Amino acid sequence: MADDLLTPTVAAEAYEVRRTPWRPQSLLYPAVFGGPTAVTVLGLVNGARLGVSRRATMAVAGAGVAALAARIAVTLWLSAAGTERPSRVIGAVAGALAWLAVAAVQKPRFRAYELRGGEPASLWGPGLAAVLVCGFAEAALILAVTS
Amino acid sequence: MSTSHDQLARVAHLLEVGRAEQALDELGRLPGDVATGVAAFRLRAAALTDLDRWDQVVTVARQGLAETGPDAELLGRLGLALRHEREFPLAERALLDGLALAPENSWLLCQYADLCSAVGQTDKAERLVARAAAIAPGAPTVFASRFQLAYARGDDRGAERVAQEFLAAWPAHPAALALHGHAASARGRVDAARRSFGQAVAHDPTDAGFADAAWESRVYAHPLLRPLRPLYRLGVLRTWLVAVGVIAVLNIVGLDLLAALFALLWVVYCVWSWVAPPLVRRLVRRRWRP
Repeated sequence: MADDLLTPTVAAEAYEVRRTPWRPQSLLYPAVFGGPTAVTVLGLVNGARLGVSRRATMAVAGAGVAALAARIAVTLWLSAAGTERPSRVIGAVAGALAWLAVAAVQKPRFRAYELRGGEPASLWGPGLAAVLVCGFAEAALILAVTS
Repeated sequence: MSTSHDQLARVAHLLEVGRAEQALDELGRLPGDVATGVAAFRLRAAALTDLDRWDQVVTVARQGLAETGPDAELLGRLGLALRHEREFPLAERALLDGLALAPENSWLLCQYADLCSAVGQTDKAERLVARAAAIAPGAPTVFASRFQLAYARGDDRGAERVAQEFLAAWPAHPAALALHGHAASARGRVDAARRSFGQAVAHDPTDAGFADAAWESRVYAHPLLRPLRPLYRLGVLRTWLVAVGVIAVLNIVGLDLLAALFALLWVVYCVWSWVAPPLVRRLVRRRWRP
């Protein structure tokens, strides 16, 4: 029986969380109300708190940029077609898509954190702040692009 | 000698029926030579494990190891307790020392797998669980570790499947019932969760964790939260996509008034999903713990 399994692998890494992470699943709310920028910013902060890999961080950032680009593209396309623009709904859908990447990448890491007895931090304050700041910034950007 | 043997057997029986406090009392009454034997240390560590007194498990296990020499079970207890105390590298050291003594001990392999799951090393955990399962396929600890592994991976369906297999193999095992409850509530099956947690408490009324979970599951099975069940079953994202889809379709078709009405209903539903659970929690708590 090969016993590479019974060699220590835990000692090398540090598992102490410096700041309490949010539940990745909960980031859907700021994603829907604030759009892709809000959820990407929160997702990147949460990723740092959970100590995710560089690849995971890049995936979140990439998905955020792609969702924002998609939101602008769809809004431009719809306004070119002359339809009344359901801008809020498009932003919410784009935010939810960006959230999918955050949730997929951070869920296992958060589950391990839970198994170590960790509790999630409250998202109320930071979530609301992200929705207001990033949501309005994004709305201003959309307005600037379409007008 | 036979009386002390009887005493230890009685303690073991008390532990089996979930009376850890009483077992500790009995252990305190043991005569000196028996009380410092390895069997007494194992039972004491097991009783303290049942009571989740992890710091004391660490102390007792270390004391036992110092006084009676290396012992796989005590090392396993030490590893388990150190994991709960968040001393992960030390926990690994203890478990590996235990496994060096008893490499084929499926319980120790599962303890090590649980540790690996908790630090996110799920591939290693999977191999450890597989090895434990090859030694003791139907053991409760193997099922529990498979559940933890699936949970750590974020695989809720897999976790539910393991819980169902566990329950099928051990229909009255409190841990099987509790894990089944967890899996059911993760998938939004509130009634199944309430039943399972209720039975887990009935089979092991002394476990605080089961009692808490049972209490929480009663909150979610409350009639006032019945409207929220589709939300729990489908998950927030899917429910929300359905709602937004309906509103968008109604808008496109031109039924603006209907769309606005539906949007209003949706907002009320969202607010209910935030306000009602804490409210019901307070209601249920008042009734349960007057």
